[in-house]
Amino acid sequence: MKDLFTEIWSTLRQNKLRTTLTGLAVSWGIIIIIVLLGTGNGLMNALMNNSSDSIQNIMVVYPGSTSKAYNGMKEDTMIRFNDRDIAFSEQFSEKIDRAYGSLDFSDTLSLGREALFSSIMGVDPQLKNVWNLNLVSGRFINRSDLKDKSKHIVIDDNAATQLLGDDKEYSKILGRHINVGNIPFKVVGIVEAEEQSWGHNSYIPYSTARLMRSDGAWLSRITMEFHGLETKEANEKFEKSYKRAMSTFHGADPEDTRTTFVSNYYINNQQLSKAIRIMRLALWILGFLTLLSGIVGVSNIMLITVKERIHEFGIRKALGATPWSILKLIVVESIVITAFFGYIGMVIGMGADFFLDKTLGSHPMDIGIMQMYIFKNIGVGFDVALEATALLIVAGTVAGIIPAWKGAKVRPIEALRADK
Amino acid sequence: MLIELKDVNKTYFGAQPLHVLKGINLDIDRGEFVSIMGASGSGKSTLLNILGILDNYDSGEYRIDGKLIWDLSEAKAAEYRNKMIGFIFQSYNLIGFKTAVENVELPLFYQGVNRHKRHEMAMEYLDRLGLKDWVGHYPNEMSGGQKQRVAIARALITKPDIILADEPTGALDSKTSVEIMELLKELNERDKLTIIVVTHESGVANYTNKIIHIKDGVIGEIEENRLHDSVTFSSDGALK
Repeated sequence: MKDLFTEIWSTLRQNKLRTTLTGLAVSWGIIIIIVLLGTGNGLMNALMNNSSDSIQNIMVVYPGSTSKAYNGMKEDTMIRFNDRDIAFSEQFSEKIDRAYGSLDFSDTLSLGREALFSSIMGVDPQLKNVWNLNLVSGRFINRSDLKDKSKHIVIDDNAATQLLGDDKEYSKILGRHINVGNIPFKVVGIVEAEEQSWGHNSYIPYSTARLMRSDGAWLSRITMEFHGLETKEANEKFEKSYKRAMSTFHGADPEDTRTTFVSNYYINNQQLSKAIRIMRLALWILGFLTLLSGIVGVSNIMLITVKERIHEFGIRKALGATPWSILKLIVVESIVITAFFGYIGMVIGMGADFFLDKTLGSHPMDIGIMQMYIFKNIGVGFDVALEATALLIVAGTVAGIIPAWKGAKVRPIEALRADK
Repeated sequence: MLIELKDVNKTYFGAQPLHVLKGINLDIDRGEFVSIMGASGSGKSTLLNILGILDNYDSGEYRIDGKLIWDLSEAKAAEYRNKMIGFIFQSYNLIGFKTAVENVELPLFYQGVNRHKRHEMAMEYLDRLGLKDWVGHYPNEMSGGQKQRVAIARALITKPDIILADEPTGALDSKTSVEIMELLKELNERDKLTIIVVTHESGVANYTNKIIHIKDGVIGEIEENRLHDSVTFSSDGALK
């Protein structure tokens, strides 16, 4: 093996310029692949908002209204959820692990002379994961808050900055009391403001919200954690029977599908990951086509090389070189060129990804009505680097095989007769 | 017999089919030093290519040491060439980007001999041919005579049964030609090597012990030349 590489090294050294030019085509192809995949990943990360660590086995149920009259109930009657619906949902199926409601309202938050209007959401601690909230300081609402009906509140960073007035250090609001309406709440945590949201969102324990709205306010939604529904069909069947049960429970026509709406995160995620798989494939194909021009370049150069070296191959054959050894010599040379320059391209491509991540990826873009991240965590993983390496070796082989075949099958007398 | 040719025929099928070898019958024994002489177009190069398993023949029989050379795969032909035949060419056919010693090592490389062993052997052969100080030089840094000596070292290194020399002095001046022919003669006498020289120069042929004349694709006269006096004008050793 070492002999083979010594051979290849001596021929590559002979043709420095040609080798470099060929290599650049390959490097360029790989740079394009890595940057395409890296930015593609960044785009998808921003789309999914890193939902990979959020809980996925979730159905969120929203109340609707009847779409037809039934048994004394008029058309367009609003369906309203209360705690009985939570209990009903929890007992609906053994596949439901937990169900909890959210009780939302709006009120002013004030601290001293500063005040702002915010949505106040009475939530279960689990919703932090469902909504993928990013905690920047303190903690989120926890179980004991829920149990104690404590007057604890989590606000977003924008609200914190506004309430503090001149003081830009938003974390200084932690532990202070702010008024929700006219009830003082202690700030226990700060979350990153949601990118796609206009107003402010604040979170308090569900039990506390329930207490504040003892007038029987309705739930905005019921969140259910479930298990054992693996396929799309199973999920659809389950949703259908759940909606039937809810319609019946509310005295509506069991066939009325508009009484409740179910948003299934599990299925949504599956669809999103399918879309992402397709996008990834598309990016790979684009990148591969770019690389293809590099491969054609290498193949072309190898053909010229073989033509130039045909006399040498004739000598080698006369001295006992088998066609296989000639084939191996050319293919390995091709692989060495593609692998070496491809690797350089990969390093440059990853550097470019890193640079893009530090520029495009770390500043939200202002799109007029709001700011949002178009890219997040631009870059490729180790797995892609491995795949790209494998692709390079295959590419090198493909590029070398036709020229190598030409070199291997030439008859020694013809080769010896060829011009040097 | 080391080499046996029985009614060997070869035709090149081009626009005009050319019957180059018309039933060659030839036996060469081990340890012989023979020349095949003929004008250009006589078929001597074709015969050499067939003897060297570089080309195949259409009909007849060619045996080396009893082994029939017929319908060989490329790989098998390569193996036979490597083990049984050493080539010396008119244009040396050294590989330009390899040093003298690397060129000499090449046949051993294709035998799978390990690096150290083959380097050692190549050094020994180059030393024997008086090229000790030139082992690290590239062919374009050497004179024609030196290059041909490197080529001879390369032909000898596998200890082949047959040395085939195709116009070995064709590109050399007369003084160097004499040296090379003396060297071949010495190798034949001292090491009992079987050497076949193909040439159109009578002076070169005169060095050999037997001269086989070939004309229009058939073997003509076979001269015994033990006294090296067959060509009067070159009896003093001058070749050209």
